[in-house]
Amino acid sequence: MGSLHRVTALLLRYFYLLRSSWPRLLEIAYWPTIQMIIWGFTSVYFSDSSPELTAGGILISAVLVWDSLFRSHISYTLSFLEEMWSRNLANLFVSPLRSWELILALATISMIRTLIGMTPAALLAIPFFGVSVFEMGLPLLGFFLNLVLTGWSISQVVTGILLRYGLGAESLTWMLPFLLAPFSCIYYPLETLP
Amino acid sequence: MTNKEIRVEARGLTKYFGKFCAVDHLSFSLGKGSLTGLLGGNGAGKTTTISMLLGLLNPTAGSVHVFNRDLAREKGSILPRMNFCSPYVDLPQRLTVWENLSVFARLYRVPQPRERIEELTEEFRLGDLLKKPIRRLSSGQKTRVSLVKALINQPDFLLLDEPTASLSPDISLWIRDRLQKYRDSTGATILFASHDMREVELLCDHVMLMNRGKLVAQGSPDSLIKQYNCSSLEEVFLSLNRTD
Repeated sequence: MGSLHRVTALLLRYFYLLRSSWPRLLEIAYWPTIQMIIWGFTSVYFSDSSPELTAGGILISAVLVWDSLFRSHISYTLSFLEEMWSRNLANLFVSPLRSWELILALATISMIRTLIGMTPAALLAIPFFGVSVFEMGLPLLGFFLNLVLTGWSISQVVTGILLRYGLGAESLTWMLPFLLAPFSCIYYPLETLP
Repeated sequence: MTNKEIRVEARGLTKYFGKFCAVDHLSFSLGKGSLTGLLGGNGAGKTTTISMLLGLLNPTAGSVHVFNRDLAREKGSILPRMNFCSPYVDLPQRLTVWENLSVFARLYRVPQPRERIEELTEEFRLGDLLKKPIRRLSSGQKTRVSLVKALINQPDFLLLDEPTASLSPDISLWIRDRLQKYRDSTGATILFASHDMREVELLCDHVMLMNRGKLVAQGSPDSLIKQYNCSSLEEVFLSLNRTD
């Protein structure tokens, strides 16, 4: 019961933070939607010359599903960074909050933010480009959860480094997930890799 | 002091950062209802000591017992009864005073949080600022909010790291008065780190003087002044630094 109180206390803190700035709230959905639009047009452009690349909206779907990894990682790590930027970490660490409760709160807010960000992009892809990721059915849930968990795993590594080395390591937040991207074959088939 | 009266006990507390010894075999005990000043110049080891007492830093050697429990092993049962305030730690700037205090009241599982926040903010003259974001407050107002946060769970052991640093003398006096009242009404143990000798002399009934990570003297302000044949705590501090 005490754990539930502490986790909800942190969720309340992140909710207040989101509520305090509408541009931040808008930004959560902004980037995935822009990604979807850019790759949607790219897909349309290639549809005549390389139909195998764009058939069934595969490129847009791949970009959207991949973005759930990036968004879940960014949402988790940015919430943690907020505590560092506002110099509030010590207040949290001397409170009864336990490490796993902090991780649970960060993961929960990350999931909420990822869903807020990805849902409009996925829904808008239907009228804009006639592509629905929801047609994947249950495998979509599997893909999504797998990628979100991978995103959180990267976040765990990044937050560990941030705790050890401080804000000097902040740029790793953006760098580490992109390290995976070339080997994840989002924009090209696996056979392309050497 | 009997075991029941001892709230905090440090035994051989030592902290190394690489080869640098920040705190060197520090041993002391703080009794129930005591208001102790931790004095020392810059780099004396005050903040490192406080960090170890809070469980933020693991000591290289030695142990800390709070409420007769080992802090390293029983943090979960000790931390709900402690709190702290420091000018080096902020509250989230974008959140309002009320939002911040609500979050911490929930973190500490304060019974009747709304009433507790109203009671404390009234006492610390923050009633009109509840809807203001922290970033719009003056430094004096921010310190008062941090103190309210530190008192939200009515801690039995309160650590204050230079809580009046960079405040005007009238606000410092007002805060000292509030801390004394809190100690008198609750019997809380307060550790007050500062390099303002005059402030510690006025507020504390026990003083520990640190220099280069070591505890070089301790006692009541009056006894230390007599012992070192000085006219103020500041002179005691300067004489100890000179002879070192």
